[in-house]
Amino acid sequence: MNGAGGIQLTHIQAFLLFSVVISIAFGFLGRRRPKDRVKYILWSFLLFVVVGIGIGWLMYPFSR
Amino acid sequence: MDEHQQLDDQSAPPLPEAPPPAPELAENNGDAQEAETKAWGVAVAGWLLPGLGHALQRMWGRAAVVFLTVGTLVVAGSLMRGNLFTAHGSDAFDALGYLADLGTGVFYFLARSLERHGADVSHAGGDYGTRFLATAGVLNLLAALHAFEAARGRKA
Repeated sequence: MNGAGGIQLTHIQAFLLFSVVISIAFGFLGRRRPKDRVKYILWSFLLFVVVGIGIGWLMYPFSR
Repeated sequence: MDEHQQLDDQSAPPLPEAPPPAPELAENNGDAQEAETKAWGVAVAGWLLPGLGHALQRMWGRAAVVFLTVGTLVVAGSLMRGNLFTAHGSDAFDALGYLADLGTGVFYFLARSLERHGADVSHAGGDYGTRFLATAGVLNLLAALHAFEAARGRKA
């Protein structure tokens, strides 16, 4: 929590929270059967994480 | 009457009256129109209250997930002190941000009430919060579009 009554997340926490929430929404909207939904959610989450971290590393040389 | 008018009159014989539509066709037309109206109502309901569009079609799981995911993003974005755009923006990006934020429907006002100390984008958390709020709106618009298509029978 920060001093003004809000929450303070680190980069990775915000990134993971975003990935989890959006993956769940995509899984439920995009697939109908429970098994397909779970597979889609896991796959989407994995792609979010891999692509996000990959883009982060690609930007690293230009960050200073 | 001049010559042109006479020619026009001769070249355009009166059209035979169209036969009245078959009763079952007229009924189908009425049903389709009613379904279309209902689909628009579902879409607007889904936009105003996240998940309501799916709940009206008894898609309880999707309704709950849309409500919770959009709600989570709005609450997290507000508590992280993200920027909630208003109608009085100064440039096109502010206007786009406002449209995205408005996508959350009534949650826009929830976000305003949670942001008692105003936005603070001087740190990364506030910047992430701004993205969370905008994403919540766009996600809810996507869900409303999904509910609209489902109501029209194009998706399930």
